[in-house]
Amino acid sequence: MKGLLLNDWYALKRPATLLKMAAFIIMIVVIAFFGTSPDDSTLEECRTFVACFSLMSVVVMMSFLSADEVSKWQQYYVNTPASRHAYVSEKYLLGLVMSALFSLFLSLPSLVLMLRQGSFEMKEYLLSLVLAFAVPLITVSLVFPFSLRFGTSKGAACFLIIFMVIMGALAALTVLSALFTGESKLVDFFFKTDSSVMALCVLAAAAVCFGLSWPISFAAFRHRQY
Amino acid sequence: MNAIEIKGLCKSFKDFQIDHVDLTLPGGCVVGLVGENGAGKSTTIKLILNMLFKDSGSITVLGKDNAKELDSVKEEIGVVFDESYFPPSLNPGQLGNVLKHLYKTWDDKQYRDYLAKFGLPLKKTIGKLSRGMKMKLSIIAAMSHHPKLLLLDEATSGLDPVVRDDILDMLNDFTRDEEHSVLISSHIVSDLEKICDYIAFMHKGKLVLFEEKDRLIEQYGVVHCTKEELDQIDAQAVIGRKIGSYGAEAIVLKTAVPKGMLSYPIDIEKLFIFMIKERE
Repeated sequence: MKGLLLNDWYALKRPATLLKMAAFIIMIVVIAFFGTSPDDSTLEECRTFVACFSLMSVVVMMSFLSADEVSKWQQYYVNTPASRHAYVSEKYLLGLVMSALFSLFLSLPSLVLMLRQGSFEMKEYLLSLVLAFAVPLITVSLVFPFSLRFGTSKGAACFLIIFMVIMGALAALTVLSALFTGESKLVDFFFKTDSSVMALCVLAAAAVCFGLSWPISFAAFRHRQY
Repeated sequence: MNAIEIKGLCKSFKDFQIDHVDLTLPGGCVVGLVGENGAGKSTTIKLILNMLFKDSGSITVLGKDNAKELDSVKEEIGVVFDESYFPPSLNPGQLGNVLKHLYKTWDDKQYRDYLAKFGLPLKKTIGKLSRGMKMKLSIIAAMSHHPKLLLLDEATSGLDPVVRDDILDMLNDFTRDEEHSVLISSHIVSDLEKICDYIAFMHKGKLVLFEEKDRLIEQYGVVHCTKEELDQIDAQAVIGRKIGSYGAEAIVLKTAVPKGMLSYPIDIEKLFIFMIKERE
């Protein structure tokens, strides 16, 4: 795994990659300080921002996988003594680390807003951190098995289909519950639940997805042909 | 011990199949796998490396079943593909650092000595190297962990004659050790003639001939004659023919050439062309 981590570290150090990451971080900082208003912005809006933008960290993680495919390094690697297990584990480990790093930046708008409103709450800040950490992990857990088995472009297509099915199901649930009960439990859960309960639920979902996805990816990659 | 043993290898695709291929790479030898584009050379090599999974048959590599035990001998196998399979953003120095952690037997000193010997810059990114330099880098990387078996898949294609000569010299050095075996696939037959002990011809997924190179050159000759004279030669002894308006040219077993008819020495390239055309 050391060799693989070193390879991805060298890829990360490329000026083009560093520039893109710097641009991303600058964008987040600008949004945190100039995109939030202490009078008008709410923490719920920040949560939505975190959940959506955290998907960008998935793009970064997938780019490591697709770079290996495009350069055919993956094909070279499977002929070295290092195992396919190690390759999968390294990508998942990288996913964990990237999610953790991105979560520090993506939770910045929530932190800045709370400080400007003079109402810092550790629970709310932790919820932003957890959302920014967990959402990409869940996404990666869904995408990686398909990408490792079929390649990144087919894997992304599979993910989009699954994503649309899940979003469609959630939207249907929301509409149906609103129709029959007059209230939307899903919207209420996202915007009105206590932060610590929501953080725990999201973290648990991410841990389960990630934990299940890892061995599935092992099996998927073991059957990959070139 | 044979470095590679393939028996009854079959693999089907939608519009192509590898059909009952039997091939042996004796230990310490160089086998050239020759065939036209699309003959199945790369597919066979991928099947040996378990990058593609066979439908039936058996493949052993350095005495190990390639489907179950190949991981245990990968330290001893060096692979060179038809183009650079390294991340283009790395430079040769960084590549060495990565490969050092993938191979227990990696010899960093040898790697860097090879880089210096062949004039490959340590700090230039692989993406900016010329095609010839990339292939040299691939071969250097394959040889720097002291493999016993080298597999080269079209490693000299698209290279100029000078670079091809350099690469063949590298392979010649490698094969001086009698424990080293090489399987090299190419459609540039003249390259293989220089270094191979055995020649294996593939055509449309089938192995049509597998013979020692020297025996092929000894056994077969080219005859120039009329069509009528050619018809007099035992058809089984003719492995390829070209009939034109001015006469016929054929490759035949020397023992079947009638008295009075001259046969000329062949080269493997001519043998290959005639065999393929005969089958079409």
